[in-house]
Amino acid sequence: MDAREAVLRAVGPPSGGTAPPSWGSEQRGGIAEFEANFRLSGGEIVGAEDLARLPGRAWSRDRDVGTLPDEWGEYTDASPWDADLGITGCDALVPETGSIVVSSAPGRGRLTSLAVPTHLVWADRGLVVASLEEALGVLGPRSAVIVTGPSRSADIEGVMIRGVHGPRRLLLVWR
Amino acid sequence: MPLTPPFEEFRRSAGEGLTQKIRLASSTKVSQRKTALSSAFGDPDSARIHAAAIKDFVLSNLGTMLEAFEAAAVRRGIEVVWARDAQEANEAIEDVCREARPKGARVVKGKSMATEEIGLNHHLEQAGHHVVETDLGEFVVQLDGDHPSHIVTPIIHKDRHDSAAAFRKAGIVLASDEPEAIAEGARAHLRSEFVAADVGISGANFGIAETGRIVVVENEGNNRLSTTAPHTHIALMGIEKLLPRERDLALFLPLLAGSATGQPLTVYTHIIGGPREAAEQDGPRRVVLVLLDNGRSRVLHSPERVILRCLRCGACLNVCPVYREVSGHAYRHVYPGPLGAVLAPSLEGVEDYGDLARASTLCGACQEACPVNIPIPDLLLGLRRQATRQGSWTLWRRLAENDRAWRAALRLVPLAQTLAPGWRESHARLDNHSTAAQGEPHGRP
Repeated sequence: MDAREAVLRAVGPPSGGTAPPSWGSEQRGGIAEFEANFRLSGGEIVGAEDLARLPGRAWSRDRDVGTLPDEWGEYTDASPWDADLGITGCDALVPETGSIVVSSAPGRGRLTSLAVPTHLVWADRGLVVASLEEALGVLGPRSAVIVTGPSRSADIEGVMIRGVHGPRRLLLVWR
Repeated sequence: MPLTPPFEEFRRSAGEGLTQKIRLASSTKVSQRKTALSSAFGDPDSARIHAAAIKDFVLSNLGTMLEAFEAAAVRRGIEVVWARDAQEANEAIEDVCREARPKGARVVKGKSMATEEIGLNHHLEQAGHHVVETDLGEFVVQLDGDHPSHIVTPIIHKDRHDSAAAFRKAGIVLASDEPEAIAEGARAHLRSEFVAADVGISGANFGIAETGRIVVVENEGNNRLSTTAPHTHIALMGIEKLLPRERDLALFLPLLAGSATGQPLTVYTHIIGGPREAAEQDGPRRVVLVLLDNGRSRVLHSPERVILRCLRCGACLNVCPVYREVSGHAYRHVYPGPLGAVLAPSLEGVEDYGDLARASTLCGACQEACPVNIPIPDLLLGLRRQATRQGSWTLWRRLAENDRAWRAALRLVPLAQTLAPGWRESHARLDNHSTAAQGEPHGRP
């Protein structure tokens, strides 16, 4: 008997019935709530006028990001590992948690939002959904990440540290 | 498998200062949990009871759920391997590492209690692979040859100087002993490991039966780097970790994050849908999911069955007056605290771990804090009865023999009750809820 068969046999037959309904979040938020919770999570909303002050070498392969202003600094072709700034679009924005959903859609590389010290999200207000449950419906068919604030750890004495492995800063600019 | 010396020795070596820190950290976590859950759910008790009903449905239909999950995962290009026990899981994972690099793979790991449970690092190292823990706390544990003392915050028993000393011993240069400097040292050191790694290994917080996707949550980003940068990603998941539908995450993600660390959601929630597709820019070329039984199917048919609802949030550790006093190592098992006091004897037998069921004042704070409303005090009582028949008393007797520890534990009972106001009433109320929920499993309580 192989392991699969043995485990399924040990688990035994199902008792049937139907699953309880999903929770059905009553949370209904909008852009203002998203902005407030995004800031609470440690994110920063920046304006176009701030972009010139962003750090050096940027990395993006995301078509949604479109043409970038000249003052965004030079692009690096090396890799997201060497960039100062990773720029991605996003797939949904969640008001109740201030989260950003970034799928692994072509061009929207996973490391672009992860291996860099600063992640800049280029967002459209139309992507703000009503609830986390609605966001889960627009994850896309492959992989996705729900980002809620900059990378952090409290492993050492409970002291909050930002940017342990992922980005220290999470920025959002409205298109 | 004893992990450490008895807890009195641990307490002596840790010192009163550190015990105080664990108590303080625990009470901070308790208040943050309450704030987060009230803000997410309004009525967290309804959410906990609904989550329990969903997990119970999964447990009642685990066979069909597992088959559905496997079929959906395979359609996505995820390779699914089944493992009856720790040895089979270790061998399956070692096979994949060897396929990635026969002469010894470079492996980066995200935090996973399941891999601790099967002793994976030791197995892989014996087989000639280079394994690095990349979670900050777990990295310190690995450098020190230690064991985690909490399932969410593994080095709650160490201070900054202990951690810094572990780095220096390993030859990693730090600017100072400040937590920021230690984190910077880890970031710089582990970067090259991520870039060079052949294999990334993670646990899994949830598997979605409907879609075959794997969900991993974390705050640092190391888990995501481990599951993205290397050629091969291996995930180890207990068979009980399934949820029926992706939309169930809207309940379980805030419940888990709020209960574990008081966050609305963890910083990163990875929804892993399989290996990289041609048009995708990065991600692993190969994704292998190992489904681990290792005693779970036996627990499923035991009186302790509902412990399999557990999400591994650690909330029951933070509220437990005994855990706060003796810390995690005293439990001698990878799963400490109230959940461990049930899970360890359930998985491995009351002969070896039955005494853990006595390491509880039955104050009820653990059930009150549990995001899936596991009746831990009832389960502990049942295990005590079993253990009494087997005559296993070790830890509880130690606690009773150590006057200071005993008095301290008792002193903390009213504190736990203060931190969980109205626990007695809500305990009764939850029992009513549970009865109602059993009678009408498909309605919102």
